[in-house]
Amino acid sequence: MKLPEPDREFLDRSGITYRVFDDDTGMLNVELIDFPLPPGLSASTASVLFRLSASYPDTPPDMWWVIPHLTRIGGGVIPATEIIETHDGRSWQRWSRHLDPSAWRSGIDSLESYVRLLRTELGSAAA
Amino acid sequence: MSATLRLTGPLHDGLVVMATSPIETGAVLLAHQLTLDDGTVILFGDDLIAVPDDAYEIRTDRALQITSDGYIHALKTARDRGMIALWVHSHPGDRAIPRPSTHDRRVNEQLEPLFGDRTETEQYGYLVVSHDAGALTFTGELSGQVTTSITRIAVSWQRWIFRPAYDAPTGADRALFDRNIRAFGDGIQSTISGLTVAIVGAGGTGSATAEQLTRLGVRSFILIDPDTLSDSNTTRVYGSTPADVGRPKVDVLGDYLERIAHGVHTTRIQGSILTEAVARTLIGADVVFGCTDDNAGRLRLSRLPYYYLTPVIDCGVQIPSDQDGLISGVFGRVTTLHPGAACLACRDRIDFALAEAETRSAEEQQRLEKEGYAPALPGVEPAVVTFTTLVAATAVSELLERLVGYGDTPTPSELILYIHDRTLRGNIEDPHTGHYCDPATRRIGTDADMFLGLNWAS
Ligand SMILES: [Zn+2]
Ligand SMILES: [Zn+2]
Repeated sequence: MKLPEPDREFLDRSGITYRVFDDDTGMLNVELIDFPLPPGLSASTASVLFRLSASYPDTPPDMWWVIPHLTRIGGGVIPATEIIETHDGRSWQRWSRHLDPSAWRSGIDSLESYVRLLRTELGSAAA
Repeated sequence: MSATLRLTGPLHDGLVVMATSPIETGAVLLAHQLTLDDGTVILFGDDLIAVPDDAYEIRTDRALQITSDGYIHALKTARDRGMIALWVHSHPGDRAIPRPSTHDRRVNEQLEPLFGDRTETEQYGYLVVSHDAGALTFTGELSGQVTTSITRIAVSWQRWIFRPAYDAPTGADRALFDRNIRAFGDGIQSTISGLTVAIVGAGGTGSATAEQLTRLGVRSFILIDPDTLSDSNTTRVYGSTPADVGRPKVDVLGDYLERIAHGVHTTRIQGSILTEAVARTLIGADVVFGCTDDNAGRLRLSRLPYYYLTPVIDCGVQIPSDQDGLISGVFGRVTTLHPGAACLACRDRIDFALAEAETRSAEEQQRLEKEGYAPALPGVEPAVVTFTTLVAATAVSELLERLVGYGDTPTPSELILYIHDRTLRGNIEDPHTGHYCDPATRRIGTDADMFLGLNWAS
């Protein structure tokens, strides 16, 4: 499995370092490495994991996972991040963020749209 | 070995304009070339680039001479797009003979190395076009890497045209098909007899569709279904008997179709179109009928017309029930997908959450369902032979309408059957801008990297 060309182009163009790997569940894993985080979180960069099904890009990625486990510097809980899951032999903090089905324009949207959502969500978690 | 040239409506129109012009006209046709496992070659037309007026040195009703400026630019475009280039010229006049003259043969010999070289494909092709009362006639050949004649042009747009080459032997069994021929004429009957039709899903709707197509004259089928026949299937599957329970559905249907008529050939694939190798066999079909209930399969079928110019007729039956388990309606849907019309996704005919659920591992699906993050997969749905047969007959009628053109225009690309209400309604939906069904996104030949632009789990 591989990342569609528009996504590869987007990640390269944005200067995002990434790694792509398969697992035994039939999902394509895309790990963004040293992804910069907004101030206000307990780290300045993180690894972010997307898991794409065979229906991607007709269907959106669902949730993402982060290492290290993030908290808010100012205190308070980041919603829906309490579950820990193991992928690729590492333990990830799961961010259960689910798109409204109508928010994903099937066949048009791509990782570029999803990274935009990621940035927005990280921003509001930090604020 | 033979080659089929697949075209969209606008490209076909372009060839007709050339063919009906009173003076000889030249152009370069750019096409993506694909050789299937069985050696069949398919050309997917991409662009028709006319010879600029100032490149004609001689141009009359019976002769043509152009400078290399007439095609050099087109060859460069072909190279940039990774396509082959075919030299196209017309023989003017109604019922003129579209066969290369001795002079044409000499021109082909000169152009072959040049075209192969400039496009960097080592491939050449030519097409001579004329017309018979406005209908395109042609002969053509490929030479170079692949050498074969172009035996058929297939057009997928509002109307579907399957035109054999000028000299190709045609003709259906006139006695056998007498009643069909009285309805549609000789030409349509030979078209039907020459089709290769893929049926995805060999259950109630698929078997009824296949039986009708066989009796109409289709002789070549690709049958795809992963399942074996169950007891309860025999209430709907044409050709099945209790003795068939446990056999692969594709074999039950295939054996039956081959008994209906002489010369029926079925390629049977016991598998799912969620598998790349299985889905790829659909490229070789002239028309595909989608007769399954799954959303993940529809997600994939929906892309086929726009990447491979293969029209798809997708159908389904829905029998919703109320809280007490009583039928609250009986709905049928027949959606015709072709270049120029919207795909299933743009029409909102695919439940994406269910499509995801259908492709997830059982373990992951269970976990997500428990957490409330995934919809439960539906259990066994109601199905009734009269309704599946009604929808199948509507779907096959859509194929006939596209071939014959007996209906009103513009042609509805979807029919909804309100069976409980005894009503049938058509609708038209245009491709959504920027989507893969939008012709401006030019998907043909762009999926060498990922088949249909998707990842395939297996
Ligand atoms: Zn000629
Ligand atoms: Zn679409």
